Amino acid sequence: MSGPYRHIAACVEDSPASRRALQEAIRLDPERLSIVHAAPWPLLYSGGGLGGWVPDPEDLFSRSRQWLEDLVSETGRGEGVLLTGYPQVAVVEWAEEARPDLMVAAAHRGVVARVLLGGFATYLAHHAPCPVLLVRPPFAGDTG
Amino acid sequence: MTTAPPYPHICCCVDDSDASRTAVREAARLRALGPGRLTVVHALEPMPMPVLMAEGAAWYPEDEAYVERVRAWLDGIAGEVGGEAVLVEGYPAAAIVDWAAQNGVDLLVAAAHRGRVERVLLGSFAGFLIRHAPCPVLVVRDREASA
Repeated sequence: MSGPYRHIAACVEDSPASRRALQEAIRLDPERLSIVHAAPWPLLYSGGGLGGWVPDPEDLFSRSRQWLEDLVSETGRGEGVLLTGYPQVAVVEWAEEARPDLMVAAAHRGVVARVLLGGFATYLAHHAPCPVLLVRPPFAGDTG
Repeated sequence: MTTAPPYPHICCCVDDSDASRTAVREAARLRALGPGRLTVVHALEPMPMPVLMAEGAAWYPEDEAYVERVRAWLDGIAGEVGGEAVLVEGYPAAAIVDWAAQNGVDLLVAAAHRGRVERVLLGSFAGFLIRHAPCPVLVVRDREASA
């Protein structure tokens, strides 16, 4: 017998908070685990006309893909799902197709990320087609 | 597979919306997986506008009768799922977070309100919870479409 949710999608990016979200998803012991990462479009760089550096999107995504593959093999279970676009929208669109029974994400991603990406967690909570479990980063001095 | 329940103490936040009924059902389902404690908590906001009487005394309209009605309603909800009713007072999200921190809650369950008006009025509730809760928060939407 497995845990309370058959298919869990853990939303991850490179932060301790989202590691914790992934651990929580594993602890709930789903039959199927999707490890979902949305690589944002590189819209934040200034264009070539201003002499700015424009990264090659392919290069950016291949790095994200490699990072996700490493995370999946380190986790030892689950399937990686790489999405591109505006992260919260991309993740919700994916969920509407894939229909996980639960999505797990970090409760917040730090001040900088919140300003850049808006409230990922809040958006997810209001738009996901399934219950959303939001996991806080550990408190300083937490032993658990 | 562990035999211990994933969350020994589950606390579900309720108000009188349909969405919070869905949250209670989900909390009860998780609670049923193993031994543990389920509390159903509602926060009573302080009466916003006391009517000032002569000599500076304040009169709160229907104070006691209102609290009694809320208590009975909350007992009803908790009773349906075999949980304990907890009525706290104060700014709702903050009062519940405080209570959860002091009572060893392992999982908070709350409804996400969907309507535009509701989201403006109450959506900040889930937002506050997410940012301040001492434990993971499970946000449940009123499931209109899902099977």
